[in-house]
Amino acid sequence: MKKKILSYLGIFIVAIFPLIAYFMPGTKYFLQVSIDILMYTILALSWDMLVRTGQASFAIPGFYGLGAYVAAIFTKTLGFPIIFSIIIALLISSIVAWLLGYLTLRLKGMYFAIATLAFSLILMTLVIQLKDITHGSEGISTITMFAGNKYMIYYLIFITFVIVIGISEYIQRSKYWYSFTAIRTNEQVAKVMGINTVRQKVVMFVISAMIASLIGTYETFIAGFIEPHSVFNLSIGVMALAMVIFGGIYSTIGPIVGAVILKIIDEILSTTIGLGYMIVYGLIIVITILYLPKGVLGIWQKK
Amino acid sequence: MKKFLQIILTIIVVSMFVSCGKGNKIVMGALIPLSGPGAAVGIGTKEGMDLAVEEINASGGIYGKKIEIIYEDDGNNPKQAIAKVEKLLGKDEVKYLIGGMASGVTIGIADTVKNYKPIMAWIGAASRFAEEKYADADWFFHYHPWEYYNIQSTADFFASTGAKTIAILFEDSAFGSGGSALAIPMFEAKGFKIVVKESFKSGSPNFTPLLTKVKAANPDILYVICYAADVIPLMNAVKELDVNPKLIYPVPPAWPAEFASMPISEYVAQLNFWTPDFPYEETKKFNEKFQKKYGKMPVSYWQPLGYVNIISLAEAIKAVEAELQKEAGKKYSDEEYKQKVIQALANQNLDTPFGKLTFKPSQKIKYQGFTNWLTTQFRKGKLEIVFPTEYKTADLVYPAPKWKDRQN
Amino acid sequence: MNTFIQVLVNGILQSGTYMITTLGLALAVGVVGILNLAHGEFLMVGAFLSIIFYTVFGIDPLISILIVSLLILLLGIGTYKISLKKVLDSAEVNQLLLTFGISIILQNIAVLYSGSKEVMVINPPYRDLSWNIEGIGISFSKTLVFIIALILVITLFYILNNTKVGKSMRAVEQNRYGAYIVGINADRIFKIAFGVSVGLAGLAGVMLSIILYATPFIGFNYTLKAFAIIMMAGMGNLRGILWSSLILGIIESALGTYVPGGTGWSEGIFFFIILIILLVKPEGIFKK
Repeated sequence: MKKKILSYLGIFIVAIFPLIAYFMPGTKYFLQVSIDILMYTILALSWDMLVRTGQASFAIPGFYGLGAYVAAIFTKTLGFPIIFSIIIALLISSIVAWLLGYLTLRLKGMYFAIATLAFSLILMTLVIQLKDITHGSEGISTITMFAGNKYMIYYLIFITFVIVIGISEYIQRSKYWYSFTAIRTNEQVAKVMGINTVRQKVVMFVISAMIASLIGTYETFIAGFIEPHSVFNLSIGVMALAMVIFGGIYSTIGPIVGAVILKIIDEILSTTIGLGYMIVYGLIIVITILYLPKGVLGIWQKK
Repeated sequence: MKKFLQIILTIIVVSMFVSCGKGNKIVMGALIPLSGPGAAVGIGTKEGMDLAVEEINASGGIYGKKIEIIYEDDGNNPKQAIAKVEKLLGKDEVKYLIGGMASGVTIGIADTVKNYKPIMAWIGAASRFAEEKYADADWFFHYHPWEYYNIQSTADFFASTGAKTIAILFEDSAFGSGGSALAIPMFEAKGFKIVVKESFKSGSPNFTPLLTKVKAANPDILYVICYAADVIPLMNAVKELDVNPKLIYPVPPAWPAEFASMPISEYVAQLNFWTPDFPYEETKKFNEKFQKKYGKMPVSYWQPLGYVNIISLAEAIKAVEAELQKEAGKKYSDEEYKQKVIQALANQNLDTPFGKLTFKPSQKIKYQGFTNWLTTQFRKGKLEIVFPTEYKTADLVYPAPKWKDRQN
Repeated sequence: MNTFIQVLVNGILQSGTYMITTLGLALAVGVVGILNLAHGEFLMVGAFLSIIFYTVFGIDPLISILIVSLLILLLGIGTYKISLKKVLDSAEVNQLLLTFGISIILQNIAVLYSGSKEVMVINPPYRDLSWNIEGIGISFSKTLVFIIALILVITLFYILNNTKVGKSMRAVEQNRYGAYIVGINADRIFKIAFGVSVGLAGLAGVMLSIILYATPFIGFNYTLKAFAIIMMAGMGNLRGILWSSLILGIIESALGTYVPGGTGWSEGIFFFIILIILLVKPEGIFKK
C-alpha cells in the first residue's frame, strides 16, 4: 500500500514539475534536461521489458534511428503532418521488428545481442549510403513540434512515460510475468508448460522496438535536425542497458531510478567538473555495481 | 555504505538547483566538445581561450571588468547541446555565446538560440546547411570559413597545376560527405574528370582496397577529405602499394604533429586555414605566448581560433565601454549595449594570427570573418606556402617524384 | 590479374588485424565466459603505452611489446581482483555494466592525457617499409601483425587443448562448481584467463600503434568487431576466428576494390555477413 502511494506521488511530482520549474531561473534548462531524462527512462524501460524474457537486445539504436529517419523523411520530403509521420514510423518499425524478431529471437544470449547489434549497424550504413532518400551523413533538417514549446514537449513525453509505465506494470502483474520468468529461466520448461515462447518473445520485441522508435521520432521533432551518427549512436543502446542494471533489472521502478540518477549525475558532473568528468561518472558506475549488485534499488530491497 | 550512498544522492540532487552569482565581470558562455571524439578539438579551443582571458585579465580586464568564461560540454551531440545552451543563456544568463565546433550541433541549437538572440561569436561549423539556419540572424558572427570557400580555393589551386583527373576519397560523416558533395560539381565545372569517388569510415581505416582502385585509375591528383588520424595510415598505404599520383592532397582539419618529420610527408600538399609558420607578426607573437603558457607549440588552428574568438569579442566590448567611460553617468540599456557591441564587431579590423579579421557578408549571412585558405606543401619537414601566388614562400613541386625515384 | 593478387594480399593482411584484436576477447568471452566491454580500451591503453615508451624512453615497440603486454596483464589481474571477481557471482549483465564503467574511466583518462592532440603516432624505422614483388605491394609491419596473430592463435589453441591450465579453463566455462569439486581453483583460473585476455589486448594495441595510431576512442570499434567475429566463429572456437577473420578481411578488400562505392558499405556488409551466418547457423559457422 505504502509503495503504491509513493509511486503515485512520484508520478504526481513528475507531472507538476514544469510548474515548479516555472519559478526557477533557467526554467527551460531544467525542462530540457527533464525531457532528456524522461526520454532515457522510457528507453530503459523498453529495454528492461524485453530482457524480462531473457533476450538482451542491441536493437535500440537501430529502431531509435529508424523512427527518427522515417519521421524526418515523411515530414521533410513528403510534407506529411508530424502526427502522421510518427504513426507511419511506428507502423514501419513494428513490421521491421516483427520480421527481425521472428528471424533472430531463437538466438540466445550473446548471439542474439550481436545479431541485433548487426541490425543497428546495417541500418546506419543504409542511411549513410542511400543519400538520395536520407541525405546521408549531412543529416536532415525538419520542423520542430509545438513550435519548440518546451512545456508541450515535456507533457507529450510525460504522457508517453505514463503509458509505458502502464504497459510495464501490466506485464509485471499479469500472467505474462510468470511466462516471461519461465522463458527467461528455462525456455524448454516453458515450452513444455504450453507457453508459446516464440510468439510471446516476438510480441515483446515489437512493443519494445515501437517504444524505442517513438522516442526516436521525438528526437527528430525536438531538435528539428538529425544525423545518422547521432541517432544510430550505439551509446544510446549501451546507456539504456547501463541504466537498467544500475537501477535494478526486471522491474518498472529500477530502470526509472537508474535513468534518473545516471542522467542527473551526468548533467551535474559535466557542469561542475567540466573536462574529465566522465572519469568520475565511470567510477560511480563501477562502485555502485560492486556494492549494490542488484542496482540502486538494492538499498531498499535488502532490508 | 547504504547511508553514505543515500546522502551522496541527496547532495547531488540539491546541488543541481544552486546557481552561482556574478559580480562586476563580463561572462561569456563557451559551448565546445570536452568529451567524446571531438574532445581534442574542444580542449585545443579551450587552451586558446584561456590564454586570451589570462592575457586580458592580467592587464586589468576591460576597464576593470574581468572576463570569465563558463565552459559547457556539447558532447558533439545536438540534443545535449540544446540543454547546455538553455543552461548558458537561460540559467546563467550570459550575453555572449562563443565557441562551437560541429556543424550538426550548430544546426541543432539554432532554434533555441533564436529565442534568446545573444551575441553569438561562433568559431565552429562549416556546412552550408548551418549557414542557411542563421541566414536571418544579425547577431551571428561566424569566424570559421564556410566549406565553399575552401572548395573554391582548392578548385582554383587544382586549375593552376594543369592537372586533368582527380580521385576523391572522403570520410563518411558530415564533414567528408558535405565537402565532397560540394567539391564534385565544382571540380567538374572547372573541367576536371573525377575518376574515383569513394567514401570510407574515419577511425577504422583500411586504405589498401581503396588505393588499389585508385592505382588502377591513375589520377593526376589524389584528393582526400579526412581527419588527422587517417593521414598517416593513408600515406603508408599509398607508399606500400606504390600509388603515384602527380600530387597527393589530403585536407584534414588538423595534422598529426609527427607527420612533418616523417619522410612520407615530403611533397604532400594540402589546404591550410592556419599553420604556425604563417608569415604574420601576430602569428609569431601567438606562438610565443602559447609556448610560454603551455610549454608546447600549437598543434591545430583551433588553438589560435579560440584565442581570436575572445580577443575579437573583448575588443568590441572594450570599444563600447570606452564610449561609456568618455561621458560619466551615461548608461545604455541592455538592448542598446548589445547593438553597440554588434556595431563594434561589424566594424572590426583586427590583426590576428590568421591575418586581418573583418566581418563581411557571405552567401547567406551578414557577418562572416575569415575566408582565406592557403595551399601549402611539405618540404623537408616544413610547410611552404605555394598558392595563392601573392603569399608564396616556395614553388610547388608538381608532379611529385615517383616513390621509387625517391631517396628513402 | 595483378589487381586480383593485390586484393587477396590486402585482405589477408587485414585479417591479421582482426585476428590479433579478437583473440584476447575470445579467451575471455568464449573460453571462460567473462563479458568484457572494456576489451578495446585495454587495447587502447596498450597502444598509448607503446607510444609513450617510444617517445619518452626511446624503446622500440617490438621490444616494449613484452613489457607493455606484461603491464596490461598485471592491470588486468588487478582489475580482476578489485572488481570483476566480485561480480562473477551475480547476474551476467553486471559484468557488462562493470566493464562499461571501466571502459569509460580508461577512455577519459586517455582523453586527459592526450589533451589537444587529436592523434598519437610513432614512426619506427620499419613503419613504412614494404616489399614490391612484381607490382604487388606488401607492407612489412602488416605482415608482422599477421604472423604474430597466427602464432598466437596456434599457441593459444595448443595451450587450451593440451595443458592443464587450458583444460581447466574449458572446464570452468562448462561448469564452475563442478570444476571446483574436481579440485580446480576456479578463482585462479578466472584470474589467469582474464589477465592473459587483456594482456593479449595490450599486445594487439602495441601492434596497432605500429600500423595505425592511437586515440582515446579507437577501442570501442574493435570491441564490437571482436564480439561479432567471436559469435561468427562460434563461442570458444579459436580456429573459427582464424577463418572468420580471413573471410571478412578478403570480402572487405574485394568489395573496396571492385565495387564502386564499396568501402562505404564495408561496415554494413561486415555485419550483414555476420547476421546471415548467425541466422543460418545459430551456433557459429565453425562450431565443431
